[in-house]
Amino acid sequence: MGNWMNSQQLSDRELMQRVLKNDFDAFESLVNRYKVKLFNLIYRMVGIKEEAEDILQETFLRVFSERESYDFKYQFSTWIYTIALNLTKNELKKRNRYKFLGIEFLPKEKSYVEVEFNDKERLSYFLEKTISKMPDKYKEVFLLRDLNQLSYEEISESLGIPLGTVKSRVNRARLILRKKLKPKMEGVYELSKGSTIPVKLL
Amino acid sequence: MNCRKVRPYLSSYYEQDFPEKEEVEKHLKKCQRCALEALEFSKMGEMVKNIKMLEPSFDFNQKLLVKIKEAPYQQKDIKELEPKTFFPLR
Repeated sequence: MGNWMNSQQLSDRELMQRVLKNDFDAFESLVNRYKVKLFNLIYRMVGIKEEAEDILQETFLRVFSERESYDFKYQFSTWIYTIALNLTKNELKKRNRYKFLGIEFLPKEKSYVEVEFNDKERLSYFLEKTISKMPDKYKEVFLLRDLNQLSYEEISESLGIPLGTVKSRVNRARLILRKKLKPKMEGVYELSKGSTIPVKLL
Repeated sequence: MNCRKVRPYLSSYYEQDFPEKEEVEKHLKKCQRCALEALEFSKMGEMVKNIKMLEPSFDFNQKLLVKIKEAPYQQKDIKELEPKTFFPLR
């Protein structure tokens, strides 16, 4: 118990020091720290839960098997995101190859069951759907920034692309989303001309 | 700053960190249209932040740890993860 409490307070790097000594508790603390965030990112990229979980598992297996190669100069978060994103991209590439051969990998969209949605639920359903249809290169930076709340610098390092490119892709993604979402938002948030703008925003 | 110059900053206005914020703010105080647009982006950001997070299976950790402990996990070929280094040919 003491050990468990202890590892909750340790930084990622301190936990990795312990993982290097085969400390499985420390490893599990890292798993708990990252699994939900990574799972949601991967799932929204690949669209199938079982597959997202396989990639998530592979990510942590690699963290463990490659623990010796982790460079403590860099943030652990950047390293694990790089691993997860590379595995995700490999999966998407594999799919594209199958598609090229005429084999459809994704299950056909299920016929949508009408359920009672209130306005906000309908809006978040539409939001998820719009995100899922975004081109991958915009979707990944957008999710990393707005869902996972990574800094622009962290995204740039994780993906190995320049900071300026990250910023412009995030901007582009938000423009795409706004264009699709705006008509749906109006009723819910009363973004009509007469609405007042909260002072704290200005 | 005018509307045209302010426009590219509106989608990131709700984020804390960017150097031109003060100038953009000045413009938003007098331009209702741009202010409204910034507000829309901020609402959108909030919505994305509040997306329902899904959990992996309840036995995810267990399965993972079994896999790691049982078979001594072999070093895999992870060339794609290595930083790309180019040595110029002479």
